[in-house]
Amino acid sequence: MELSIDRLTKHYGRKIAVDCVSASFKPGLYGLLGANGAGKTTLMRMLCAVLEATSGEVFLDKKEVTAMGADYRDLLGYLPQEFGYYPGYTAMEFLMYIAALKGIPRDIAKKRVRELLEVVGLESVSGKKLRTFSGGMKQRVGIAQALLNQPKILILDEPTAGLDPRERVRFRNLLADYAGERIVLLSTHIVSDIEAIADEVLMMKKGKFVLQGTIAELTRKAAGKVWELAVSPGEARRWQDEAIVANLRHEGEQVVLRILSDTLPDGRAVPCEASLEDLYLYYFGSEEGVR
Amino acid sequence: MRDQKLEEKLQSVLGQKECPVRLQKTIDQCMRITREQRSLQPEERTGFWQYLSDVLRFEGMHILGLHAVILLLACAAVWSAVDILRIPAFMPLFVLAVMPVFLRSRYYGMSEIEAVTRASGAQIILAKLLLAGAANLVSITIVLSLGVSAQSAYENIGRLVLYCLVPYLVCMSALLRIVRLSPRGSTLAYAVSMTGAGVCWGIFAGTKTWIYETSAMGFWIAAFLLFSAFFVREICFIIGSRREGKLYGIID
Repeated sequence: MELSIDRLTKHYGRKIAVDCVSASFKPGLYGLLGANGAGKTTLMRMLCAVLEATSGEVFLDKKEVTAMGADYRDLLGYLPQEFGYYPGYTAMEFLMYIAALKGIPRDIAKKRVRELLEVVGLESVSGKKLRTFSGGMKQRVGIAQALLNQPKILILDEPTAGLDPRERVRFRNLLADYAGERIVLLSTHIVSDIEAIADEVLMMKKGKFVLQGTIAELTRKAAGKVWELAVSPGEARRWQDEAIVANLRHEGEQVVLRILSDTLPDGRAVPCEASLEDLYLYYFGSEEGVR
Repeated sequence: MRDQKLEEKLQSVLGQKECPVRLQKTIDQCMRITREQRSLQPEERTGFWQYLSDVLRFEGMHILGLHAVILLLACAAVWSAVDILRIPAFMPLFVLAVMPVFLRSRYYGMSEIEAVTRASGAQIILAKLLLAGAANLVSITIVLSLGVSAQSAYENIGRLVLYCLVPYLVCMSALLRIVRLSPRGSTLAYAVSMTGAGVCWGIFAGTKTWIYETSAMGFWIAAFLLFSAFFVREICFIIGSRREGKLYGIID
């Protein structure tokens, strides 16, 4: 199974949300990283065929996905970044409703809904109305609905938003286990989520893929750009204004800064091992207001 | 591998003692492959009628609930000897009764999730339209039958059907057009305009009685043909995009 995108482009008037991107996805877990407004959501919506591309195409095993229609959607599981719910439905009713739209026979759907409610830890509240659910609980219902048809292609837009750390870890493990023979594409700006489970990472900036590769390959790109520097608190403030400071910790009277720089920032700085987060901040530091 | 070599190899394998660790490893591997194969096999999916029945199960209460209220109101009005020509005033209200079902997913932000299911956004609208249309048809038939029999106006039944169908087609086409083209904010405007249309139609029927003269039949037939064309056009849009997974009604 191979999902590929060929020169996919989306314009909103004069604004280019996705700018002629091409990629190919084989079974595995892919992380899509990018700052807000990088074009991740637009790309995912086009991959799901919910949004029409201005130009370019999406193929599944060399077949154009819009031409595949229901056959393609049958293979898809999708969690949008922002999704609504019918407040009068219970979690069980909501999932049964989505199962009906996905064409899952009722007896299979009932069994699967119960299984999924257990997987996302909502089995005890399955009879409660969705309007009484917290943000994290709704997100878990959203994750469950995406998995209902046991999709071969799972597209998740910011799935861990609103989940507490324990739930995030649980969800990450679930995804890593699920990926196997399937294509899982996960977009987020929480780098640690991707660092923990993704086989391959695509970094998006201003509608384009700026970097693409395994975590090891990408972190190698940041090698020699990460430095640690111990300074006084007064100096630390100056460094934060002048450089990309990925981290800051107090050690006694001194402040240890983790600085991202192409060249040695100061004679006292020592090089250190790069992480995916360092690479992310190196590319998006100014956009995310880190500097 | 040559035959002799193969024979030697097989004999050496057969001569080996059973190795429980390797045996367990092989069983585990077979089970894993079987599990993966099972999960990748296409699953059974429901057909159109089962799908329609599922939509009725989830949307039925919403379609029939408000409908029943309007039907009761209309029957009460006809029974209390309201002029039979005012029956068409209830047509916008019947369409108003099914409006929440059509705009519900958009109102609650469910369109995107629904559009990525096996049933496309257009198919969902089509299924709702079938159910809502059937409910409308039954209700209109009940009200008309009641009105005609209560006021013994059997000879006017053909004209009455036309008087009811024209406002119904106007309102239904407008609703489908709103679903296809308009943003979420227009829902309230539509509800107000449908209620207003019902009231205006009632007043119009009472004051401008000439429109219901036999001589005005040409106007009614022309209006029926015109609005039928609008209605059919909307249906064609839905049928034409039923295979697409796009959000029905949002043109990006």
